[in-house]
Amino acid sequence: MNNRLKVLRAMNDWSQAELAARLDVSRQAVNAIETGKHDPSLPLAFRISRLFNLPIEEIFDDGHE
Amino acid sequence: MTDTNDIDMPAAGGFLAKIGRVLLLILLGIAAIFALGFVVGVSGAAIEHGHLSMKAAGLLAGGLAACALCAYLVYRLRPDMRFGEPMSPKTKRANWALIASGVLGGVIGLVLALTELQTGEGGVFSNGPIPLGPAMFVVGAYVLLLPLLAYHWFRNADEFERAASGKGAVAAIYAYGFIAPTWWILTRAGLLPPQDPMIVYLIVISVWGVVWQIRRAD
Repeated sequence: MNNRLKVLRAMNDWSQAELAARLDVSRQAVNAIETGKHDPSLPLAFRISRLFNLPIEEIFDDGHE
Repeated sequence: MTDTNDIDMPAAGGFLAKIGRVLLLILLGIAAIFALGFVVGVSGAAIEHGHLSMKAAGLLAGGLAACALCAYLVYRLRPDMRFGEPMSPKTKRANWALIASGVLGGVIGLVLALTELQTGEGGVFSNGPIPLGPAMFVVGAYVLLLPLLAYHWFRNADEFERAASGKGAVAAIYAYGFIAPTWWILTRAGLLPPQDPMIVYLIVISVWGVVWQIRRAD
């Protein structure tokens, strides 16, 4: 699944570790989501959505219209 | 959601202070090993004689207290492995469980090695007999403490870490499914010696660890 996490993180000038701490996950988890190695669960996707104050579909894209 | 006020930002320190702290950590580690060896020796002698005298009990308590004090000081002086980056409380707790598991494994290995030094048999890489005292200590630590640490890690690790560990566990069970019957058949065919459960265990646990680390690597 594609996502804009890296861009959104850069817009906030956060490191992976800083974003990870804000989401209560490990830095490796953030890296895995950014690189598409791991698709976040729905609860984590909602946490990301709330953190950036954006709807989930504006952060994650499953490739379907 | 994590309260960002809980996120612990590490403090910077001078180079000499860091070197001094590393040296102190090494000395405390050596002291802890000596204290543990002392405890193993006193408890082993007490078990062999069948009773624990007041003097031996005092020595045992003193050795345990010294070991615990060294371990506590090592914990308090431990180096910051976050390289100036923040870490959430849950991630810290999960990492703590992993480190504690490693320390527990180290202590178990040390007890077995010290037992070998004292009795001339047993040891880590051996199937030889070991005295009852160290055996009970090792089994107790493995059966009682390791499940608690595993549960603590599982409760605090994030979904990605749990998934990586889970994939390692699946690979490990597949490895066991291939290794155990293959070795069994090859033994029956006279091509391999009888199956050694610890060798199988080490292979399986290594597969788990390697796959887990590969999955979580950047």
